Amino acid sequence: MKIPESPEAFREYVRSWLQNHYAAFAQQWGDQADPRNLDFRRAWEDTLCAHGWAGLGWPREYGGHALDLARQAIFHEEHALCGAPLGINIIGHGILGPTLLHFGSESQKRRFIPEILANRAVWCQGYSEPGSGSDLASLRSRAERVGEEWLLNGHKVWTSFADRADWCFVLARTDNSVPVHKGLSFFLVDMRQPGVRVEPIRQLTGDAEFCEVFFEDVRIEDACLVGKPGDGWRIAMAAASFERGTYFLPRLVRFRQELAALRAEIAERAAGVAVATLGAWHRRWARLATDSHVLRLKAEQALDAAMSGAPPGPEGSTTKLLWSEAHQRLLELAIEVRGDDLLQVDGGGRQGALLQHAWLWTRAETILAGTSEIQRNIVAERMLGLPKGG
Amino acid sequence: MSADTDIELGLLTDSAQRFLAERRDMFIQGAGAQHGRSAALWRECVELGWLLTCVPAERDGAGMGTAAAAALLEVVGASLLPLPVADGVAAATLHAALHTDAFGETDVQQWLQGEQLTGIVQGTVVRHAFTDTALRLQWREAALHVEKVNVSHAGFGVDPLVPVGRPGSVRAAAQTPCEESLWQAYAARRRALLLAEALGAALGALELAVEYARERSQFGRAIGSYQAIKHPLANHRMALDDARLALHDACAAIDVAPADTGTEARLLMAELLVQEAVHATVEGAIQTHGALGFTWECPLHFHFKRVKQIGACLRQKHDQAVILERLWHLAA
Repeated sequence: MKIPESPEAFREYVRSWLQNHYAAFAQQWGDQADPRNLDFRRAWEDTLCAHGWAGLGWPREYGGHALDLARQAIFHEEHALCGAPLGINIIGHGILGPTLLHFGSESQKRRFIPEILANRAVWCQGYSEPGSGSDLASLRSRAERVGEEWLLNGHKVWTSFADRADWCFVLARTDNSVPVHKGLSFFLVDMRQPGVRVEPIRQLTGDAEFCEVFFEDVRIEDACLVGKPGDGWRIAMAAASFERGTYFLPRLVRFRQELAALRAEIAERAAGVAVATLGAWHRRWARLATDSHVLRLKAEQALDAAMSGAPPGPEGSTTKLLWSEAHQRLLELAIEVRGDDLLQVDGGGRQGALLQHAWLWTRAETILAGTSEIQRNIVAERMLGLPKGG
Repeated sequence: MSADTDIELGLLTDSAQRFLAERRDMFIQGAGAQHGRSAALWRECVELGWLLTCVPAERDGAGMGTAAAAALLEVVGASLLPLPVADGVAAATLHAALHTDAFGETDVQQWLQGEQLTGIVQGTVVRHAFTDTALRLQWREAALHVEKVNVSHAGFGVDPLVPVGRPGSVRAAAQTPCEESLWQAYAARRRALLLAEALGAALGALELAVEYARERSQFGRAIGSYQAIKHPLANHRMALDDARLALHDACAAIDVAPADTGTEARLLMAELLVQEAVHATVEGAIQTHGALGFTWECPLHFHFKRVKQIGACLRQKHDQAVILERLWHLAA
């Protein structure tokens, strides 16, 4: 891959590459080119990686392109604009890779980074447990030192793509004698070994992207401990900040695209509805366009902050809240405008099914990656200095 | 924004904050308004150079953008200063762009130089009616028309710190050629700065509410530790931050292309967000204070009333439904 010098030329290059390759790729898949189809998503992600579109911001010595954040942002934006779906190894590319490059040993980098770049190793994230959701630090999975190895026992839940993952990074308790945050360690666990059991969880959309993962006497070599025992919480918190500046870009592009489609739909259905209804639709649409405008300004602000090296603050929480709640309002309006028959009787064919799927998905968006309630606690405590709850 | 302008802006807002903090008790206790003290305060504000914030350096101004003036107005709003600073900044910027002093007997000059404190006519209302005359600025047929009018029915609206009245008969008039885009810039800038003042007044209320939620204890804990209290406060903080972001974006657009429909849309979105945020914030701040928030002694009601008064001033023929419908059409 040859990287053009100026940002404009880079954007042009990325756009034309994606237009050429994605259109041809999607055509090959025909009816199966569907964002709900995980095989399709994996195959596109493989294609991107095979052409070198991975590790954009990673150092060259580990196979990355060392692009600055502005160029990474351009890629993520253009990728979403061309209509291509997100991959299924977003956790490997977005979280684990940067975490290893930052906290991993030299041998861990040499061993795992090339596998992610080639998309040969798909990663999942083993954090939440049945008893530890919002209060993550209370988690009870245990890893015990046995000779030169660790023995892992525990039960993780809401683990995205675990049934397709080759590896999982796991937060487990290694010390019960210290305060909860300090007794956790960060392990890399091979999912293809005895003692690992994955059970998909069927979601309200009907799909099963989340899983439960059971670890029963799973052996972990010492070389798969990242950092030192007890570093787990610190590493996990830092890991969550590596996508700062770019995480929301594809989601914001999608928001804009859905907004444009909704506008066209409202115009198309204008003649068939009451004047009062149409006025209300216009107003709700314009309010959502305002949300979209603010989200874009917030994304620019976050990118500037990340590029200037400012430490991550609670602004990720404010963007997540605005995006997830506005996205629910957007899809609620889209369903209403589409007409009540969609939910009652006919399903609306393929387009209707996609809309319903996106609509149902928005119910997860205010829950996953920190519920709205937890995000508001973060804003209140870190931005306003209000005391923690008892 | 470059590092230099950041520093300049910091100096401007810090000095304004100090200046206003020292005088705040005076103008809050002066509810009922003594004209002499207000006129002296106006002169001091003008001498600090506030009105020249957006006037180009070659016209002896500070040469800063409208966003800088918005930051200043936020400080003014938070202090509850009851003077027409937003009107003054917008008018001084227009005045400098016109390259003329041809305002005859209308007192525009005296007002902008701090020699006289005059109210400004907005539709059917004179805000800051400290004296028996006011200024009316209008644009028609490629000219700026300035009138000095009598003020009738002087008194107070909901805000006990800002005297108001009705515009009456014309005492003096002047006109000067003025491009439409200059007038549009004036009108947009004035609107943006009034929004910034309301934002500041609401921010002041939020600070009081947060402080109270930290200190007031019930059931053995600070009430700010309860989610029923802390989540609304978090919402208000985020709404104010988003509104400011949109407002400063609109200010930048006003500086570059005041007559553009894109600028109009950006200002409308900012107006929508500011209006939503400031009303929710001052209402919530009173609720957070419980019965204390309902007393005259607690200064919250001044913030509440300032927000409600500016809100009403801007809403004339420009309510939420009108803004949203306009945004729908502008997006076509």
